[in-house]
Amino acid sequence: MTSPRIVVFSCQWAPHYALQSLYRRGRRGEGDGVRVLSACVGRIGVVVLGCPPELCRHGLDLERFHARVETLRAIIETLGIPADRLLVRAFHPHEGAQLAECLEKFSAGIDAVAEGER
Amino acid sequence: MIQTPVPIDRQENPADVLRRGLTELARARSLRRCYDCGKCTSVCPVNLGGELYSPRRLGQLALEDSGPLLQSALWDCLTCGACREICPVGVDFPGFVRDARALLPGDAIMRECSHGGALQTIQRLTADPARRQNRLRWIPEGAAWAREGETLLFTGSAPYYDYYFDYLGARASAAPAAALRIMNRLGITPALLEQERSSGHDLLFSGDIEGFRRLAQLNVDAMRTAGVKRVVTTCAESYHVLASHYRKAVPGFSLDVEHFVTFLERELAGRDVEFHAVPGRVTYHDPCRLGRMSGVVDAPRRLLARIPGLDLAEMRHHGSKALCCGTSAWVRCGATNKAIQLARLGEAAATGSATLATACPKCVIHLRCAQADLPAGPRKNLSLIDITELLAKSIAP
Repeated sequence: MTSPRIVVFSCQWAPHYALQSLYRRGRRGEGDGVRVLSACVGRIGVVVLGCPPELCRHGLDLERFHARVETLRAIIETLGIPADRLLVRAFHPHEGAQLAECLEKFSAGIDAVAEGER
Repeated sequence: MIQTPVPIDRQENPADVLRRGLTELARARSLRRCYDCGKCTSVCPVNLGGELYSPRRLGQLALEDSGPLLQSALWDCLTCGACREICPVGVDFPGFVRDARALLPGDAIMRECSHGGALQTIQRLTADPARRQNRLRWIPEGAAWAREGETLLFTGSAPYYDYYFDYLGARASAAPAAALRIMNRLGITPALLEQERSSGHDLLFSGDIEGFRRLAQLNVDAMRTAGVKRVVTTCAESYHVLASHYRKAVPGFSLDVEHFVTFLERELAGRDVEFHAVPGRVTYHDPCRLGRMSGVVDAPRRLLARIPGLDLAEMRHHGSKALCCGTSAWVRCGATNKAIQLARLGEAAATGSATLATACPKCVIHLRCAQADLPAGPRKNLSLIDITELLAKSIAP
């Protein structure tokens, strides 16, 4: 895999622990081109990680979050930016492997986009 | 070509640049003519909204001290033009504020944008010539329109506002959709451009003159490619910048620009078009950019007067004296802005009207936002609608 430019916005709770478990095992999983919680300038892929609904402790915030993501998706599609460059997923704390797999798959897809833009 | 109002030497100390720029702008906008009569303060909506705020004080500050007090005060102004309208010596405070914002550092500008700067960001993203938008999804099925033609129906940022302000139930594209229906009813097939951009109003009035210039150039290029000779828009702010600022921003721009209400009035002349009844009392809110700043005050009222059953009731402040809807260019919005919006809704409710009609999608959005926090009552019950939608109910039901 090459190094596509991807920014990951991660909730500080459940998926954060999944990321930490990856780091503890010495596995970055997300590839060199992925930056977690970084500035998004110049990035061509965006990942937002949230908690599964049953783990979220922030009440209505999760509903608002999903409504805002839908708004964002509609706006970027209107802008002509393919909506599949925005990935929104939820992970349990024990789902490090699934998280790594998801990011690898997304990176491969973004690789193709980056290739097209070169 | 529009540039920063004062040539900026990037090697110079930013504080010196600001001081020098403000001095030159003060001269260009006649700030020194002010003789402290205070009439501007008495009509300033920010002052009426409860903040100790005065255009003349702002002018004095600009001449004496370019520090944080002035820099903050520049963002309180709504650039509504009420002060310029009443000033006996013609001081152009709103023009001064608009251009002075462009002298401030970029990070100061972004700090003052409401909605986290998202609306300006969308506009800047479309300033990329390579951008290929999908912005025509709002067009009603069966409507007659073309990708090229002499008459352009300009929709600006409406397709983006539809999504962004969905939570308020505000649908900005309802106005151009209604305009399209009326035009079709009159046998007119307008052009609609897939690669049209925002007019750039918000970037111009929030200090990003270069961003405005880029959007204006892209819009004019798209209009020329499509063979456009006349631009019609339902948006008061788009109308104002297209008619008053594009000539300075894009060399050679000379297209006719009309707000839909004046276009419609002219097109109706000599045609026998039936107006169906739309019963009820309606009050009309003049958008600052259309009424006070462009002098289009009577045309919307004459059109409303032609609708059978419609009882037009004027608010206390109307026409060129109309009160602003409380916010402009998606910059600073807080308690004072909300107070202005509530005052305006109060004036409308006091007329006994069930409906407030206006000619600007942003006025609808701002007043709806203020309504969202209100408890049940006459101000909350007011139906807010674009005048073009109201006219479409009567002309093209």
